[in-house]
Amino acid sequence: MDCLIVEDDNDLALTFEACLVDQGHSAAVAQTVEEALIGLRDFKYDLLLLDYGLRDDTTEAVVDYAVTRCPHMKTMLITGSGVFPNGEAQRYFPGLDWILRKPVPLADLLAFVDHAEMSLSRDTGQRRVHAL
Amino acid sequence: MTQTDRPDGMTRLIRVGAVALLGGIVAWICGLAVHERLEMRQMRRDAAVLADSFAHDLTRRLDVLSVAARGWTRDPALDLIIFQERASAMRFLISDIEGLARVDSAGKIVASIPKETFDPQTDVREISGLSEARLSAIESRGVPDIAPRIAPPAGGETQGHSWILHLPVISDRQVLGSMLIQISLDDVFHAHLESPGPRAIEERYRISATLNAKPVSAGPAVTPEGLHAVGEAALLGHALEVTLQPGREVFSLVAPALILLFAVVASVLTALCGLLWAQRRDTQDAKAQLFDALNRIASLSVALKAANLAGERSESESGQLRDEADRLLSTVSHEVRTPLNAIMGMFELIVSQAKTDNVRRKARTGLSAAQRLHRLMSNLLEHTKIRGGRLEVMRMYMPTGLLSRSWANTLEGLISHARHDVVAEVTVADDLPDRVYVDRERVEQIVVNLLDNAVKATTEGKVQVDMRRDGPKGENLVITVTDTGPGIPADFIDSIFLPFVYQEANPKAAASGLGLAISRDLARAMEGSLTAENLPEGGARFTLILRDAAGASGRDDRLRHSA
Repeated sequence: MDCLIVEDDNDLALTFEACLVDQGHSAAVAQTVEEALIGLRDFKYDLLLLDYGLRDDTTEAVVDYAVTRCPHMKTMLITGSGVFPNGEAQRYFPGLDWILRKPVPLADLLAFVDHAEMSLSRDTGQRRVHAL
Repeated sequence: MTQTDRPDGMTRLIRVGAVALLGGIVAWICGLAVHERLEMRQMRRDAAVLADSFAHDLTRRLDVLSVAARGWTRDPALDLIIFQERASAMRFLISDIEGLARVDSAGKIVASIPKETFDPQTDVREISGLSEARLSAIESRGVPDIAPRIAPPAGGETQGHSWILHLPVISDRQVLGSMLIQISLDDVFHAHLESPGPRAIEERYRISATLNAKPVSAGPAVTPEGLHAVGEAALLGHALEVTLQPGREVFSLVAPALILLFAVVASVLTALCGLLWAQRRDTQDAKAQLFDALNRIASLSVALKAANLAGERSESESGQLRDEADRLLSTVSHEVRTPLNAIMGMFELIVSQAKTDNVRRKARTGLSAAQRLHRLMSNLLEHTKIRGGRLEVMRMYMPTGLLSRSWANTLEGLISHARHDVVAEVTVADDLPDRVYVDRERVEQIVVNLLDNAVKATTEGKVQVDMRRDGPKGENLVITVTDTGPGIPADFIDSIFLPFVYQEANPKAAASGLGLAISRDLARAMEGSLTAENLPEGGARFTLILRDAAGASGRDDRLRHSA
């Protein structure tokens, strides 16, 4: 599964990347909103892991573009920000699939990734059936 | 302000009364002295007037006195003592007659005759010179110009303060001469002192001289015995009556009373003045105290205002600092989460990929430390949020079974993770509704914290969760977490819910010191309570009571309120 990690913290980005790669997925890292938009424009990812606040901007635009550009893509917001203390992010990010709170145990992260992979396989399978 | 000691009302009244009395006495004494002095002066003046008037009156009444010179004999016993014999009141007059003097028609003294040598029969004949008309007028009385003249003492014949009366001596239409009578003013004065009274001679003495019907003759001399015999003052054929009038001594009698009244009035006035003065002084003092108090109030007001401003400024600054600290803590907590996530993730990767147990154990230790740090940061953030009033409670109807199963699973997981020989038990009362009205997230946060503590404290035995309803109508939800551990130390049970209080005696249970404090704050935020107690049989019990959470209601409304 192709994953895009949008995280401006280099260490955490590397951790997520290592975790995903170790599980046999491919992962790319974008550390700014601009890099994330360029990556989504140039490549269709299956899973988007993104932080909320980056160095240049917040990532609402990234989510909006991602769900438009890749409707099948699963999106996961992983944030330690206190902007949405009671889960209000779902209201402002209608395309989000999951919201996780930092620090996210890698086991939990991988569980979500597996779940996304299964969902994605099911969706793509349904599409194939429709195509046939 | 210095508060001066002031006498009370009674003491002040006594003082004023004493001063008034003293003033009255002084006024009385002064009045008496003034009165005495004035009286003395008046009496001296009266004495002079008295003597003058007396002399005038006497001579006026005697102006027609005819002296039968021949009838006069020189009798030492008679020698004018007759007047004294006639009226004691005139004794001063008579006794002080020094003698007779002979004067000519012009009134000039030609010879003085001491009473010891006075011989009327010879001496008075030498007086002559009056005209016929004047003699007739004298006889008919009332002619002023022939009235006896009063002259002040002259020559060496008189001494001291005296008046000299010149009495014409007429016999058979012939002026035989005049008789000179000298009156001592001193004696008049002293007599007046002895019997003070009216100031006018007319009021003091009644002097009358009437023409005696008995013809004047040069017959036998009148003797004292003879005078006594007729009962009337017979002087050379005339009756002379001089009696002492009772003095009009009303003023003398009233004067002390008037003075006393004056003293009383002066006392009263003095007392009134004293009272007024004291009152004025009191008023001035009260006014000064009032001004002082007002000044103090103004000063205090200014100080209070300044203190209020300082307090508001301090409160504002304190609030700003508190908000700043909260923001800093929140920001730090959030910013720490990202690198903490990286640390935990790396340790997890190492644990999962470690080739040896030694490396895996070390990675797990690091992961555990990172997780403890994470919990500390989370608790700090939660505590800050609750104390800052930014916690939102969202209650909704939740299935009771869902909660109980969730807590059973959590308890099982905690026990499994702790590897303690502990039995987990979750019970739900039969009368508990199927749904309870709670904020699931917050209630679970409390219960999980209690379960975590219970499992940590209990190495063997049982950890039990009970759910039941309570209250008059069974409207309250009661959740108890009971363990069979060592219980809560006695010196710790009172402060177990205070923040940053650690149980030093149980290092295993040591954590951030915020878990129970946050749990209690959350319970209060949900209008509930959280209490702890030790059980007699051992172990501890934590009781969470949520009000109106177990009421039978089918509504699935959601209420939000800030805690």
